[in-house]
Amino acid sequence: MTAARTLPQMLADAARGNGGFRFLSESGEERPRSYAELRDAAAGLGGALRARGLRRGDRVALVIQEPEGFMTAFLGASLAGLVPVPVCPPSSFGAQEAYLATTEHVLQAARVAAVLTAEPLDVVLRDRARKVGVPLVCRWDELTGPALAGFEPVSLSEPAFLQFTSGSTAQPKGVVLTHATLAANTSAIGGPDGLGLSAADFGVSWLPLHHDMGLIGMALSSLAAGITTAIMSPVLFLKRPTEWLKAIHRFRGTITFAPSFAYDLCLRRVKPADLELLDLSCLRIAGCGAEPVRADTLEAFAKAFAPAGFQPHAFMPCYGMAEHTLAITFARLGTPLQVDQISSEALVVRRRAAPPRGPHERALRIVNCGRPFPGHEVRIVDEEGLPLPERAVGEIVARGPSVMVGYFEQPEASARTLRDGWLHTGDEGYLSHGELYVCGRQKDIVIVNGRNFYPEDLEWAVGELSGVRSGNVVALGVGGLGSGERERVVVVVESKGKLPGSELTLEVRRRIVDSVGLQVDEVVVVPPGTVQRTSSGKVKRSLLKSQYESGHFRGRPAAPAEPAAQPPVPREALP
Amino acid sequence: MGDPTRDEIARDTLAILKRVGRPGIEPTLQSELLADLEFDSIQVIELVAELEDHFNVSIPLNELPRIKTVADMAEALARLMQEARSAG
Repeated sequence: MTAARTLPQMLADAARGNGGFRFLSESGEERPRSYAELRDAAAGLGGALRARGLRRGDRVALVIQEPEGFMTAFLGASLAGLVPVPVCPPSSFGAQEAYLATTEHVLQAARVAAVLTAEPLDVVLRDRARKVGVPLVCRWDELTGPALAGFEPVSLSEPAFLQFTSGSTAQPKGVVLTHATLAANTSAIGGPDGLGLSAADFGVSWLPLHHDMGLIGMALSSLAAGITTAIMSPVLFLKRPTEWLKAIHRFRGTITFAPSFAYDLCLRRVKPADLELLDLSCLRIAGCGAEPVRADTLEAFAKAFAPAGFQPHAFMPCYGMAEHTLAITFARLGTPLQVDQISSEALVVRRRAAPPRGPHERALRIVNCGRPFPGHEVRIVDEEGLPLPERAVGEIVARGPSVMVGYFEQPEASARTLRDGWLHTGDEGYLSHGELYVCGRQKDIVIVNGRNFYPEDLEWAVGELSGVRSGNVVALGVGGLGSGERERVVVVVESKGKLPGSELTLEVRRRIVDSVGLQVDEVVVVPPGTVQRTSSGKVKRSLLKSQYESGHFRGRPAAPAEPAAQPPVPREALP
Repeated sequence: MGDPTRDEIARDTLAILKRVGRPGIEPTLQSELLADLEFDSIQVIELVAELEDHFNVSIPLNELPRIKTVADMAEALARLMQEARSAG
């Protein structure tokens, strides 16, 4: 096993080999860049940043959609001893103001010294970044200056980059990843208990690079192993999902990763004529993570793409989070998808993963997400943090060299999440034969198409609306895990009775779209007094959720039928 | 074949919206794509792909934050087609 390396050392090592990235732009244009070429471009960009007065340890925000620009800027900042901070670029209709407000919060929380972006976003970002006191905003491709003579020596304990994924919009939290945690996780991912990477491998990814699965799981893991990976613009994939599969076919890709929704999108959008042209037999690993792994989706994909040579055992369900660099568990290489059928009654009431009691009880289908990596541990604990036995449901906690050192300048949030060396994930699951099954979240995050949404952000957007009882808005994620469907976002509002329900519903949707860019699945208007609170005034979310799921709010006069497009989706009876 | 007129662009855009949008919602030029037509983030991109194919033009994603209504979309399409033609 090789000694742990910093990111600049990984790049220097990779530059001596034959690997590199093949960037595919939004328009499909292909730009192959060897690691040696990338190192040279990065050294130029890093030198230009230093020439502009940036000092070692300064944070540099990257708001760059195109993969080539992003990777050059990321590696350039890293070679110069700076700390890159990937920031999500804008992506939706008419929500520019909300996007800029969110971005401002991140720039402030990270106290960045510079923003690197691309045309035409630089125009709007320049104004907003100056407003929050960021001295330097420029396009990555206009940075010129003397190239760095050598890379800035950094130690393994220094921050490699900040990953902003958790915390609500108003209070973003940046995970500090050191070179040591990054090295630990990338070698676990590429190692024999992970992907088992070899020189024969070729990665294909469409995942956004501001997201940990795209950046660490695909780009940095292939850099660490020195293999070649095609990195396609996520926009190209979302517009034309077939391009992802075509790239796997064309490059003879062996490894890819995506959330469940991407496999679902292929099922819906890939045309039979395209299927005939595809040969996916080269793919030895099709990773699935970042949102709950849906067994039904993967099974349907395996069936639909079998004629194209897709091997069902290529599916590799994973579990991870930014606070653990990325990966916590991987299912074992080359094993078929393992799905546990458990009783939802036992799960909720007895907190046990037990088989359904009879054919009439609805079973939840939970996917096996595999085991932790060597040197890492996973436990299931109760509310006091004490370990629970096999098949008991509790909080998933993790320990080992991939755990973050903390959130950037957030000691209290860090102390809540890291206790006695254990990372408290806020997710619920159970272990069976040492393998992890994830079955819920203690945190109330709702995940839609791989994006995390915080209920408080949705609630805040609606809270000021007249016609809504102040504070009595609750956003819930329902369905999802184990139910075979994607998670649905339901917003329950208590009306003050002035507006007719249908108008209120429309206004609630509009507010949430404008402020967070999310299309909620259903708005339920309920009479005053419906939302129950604890003695300390916290909304009883789980009670409300079970009331919703048992149909408690259907057919109430205050909740008129939505436009026919959104009936409550009945759960499918499972075989 | 010449470029379509603005009216033709608006008409075709509405027709595509009817096809890919939610059933039962009638789009107009003033409709807001997200708030009125209830597009989610994935459908937004699907719509963009449909419009690209139909008008044979590329719609970069960074155009989207400035597009709120169907009329804005038609306007952006007209401009992008014009730019593509000038660029030869």
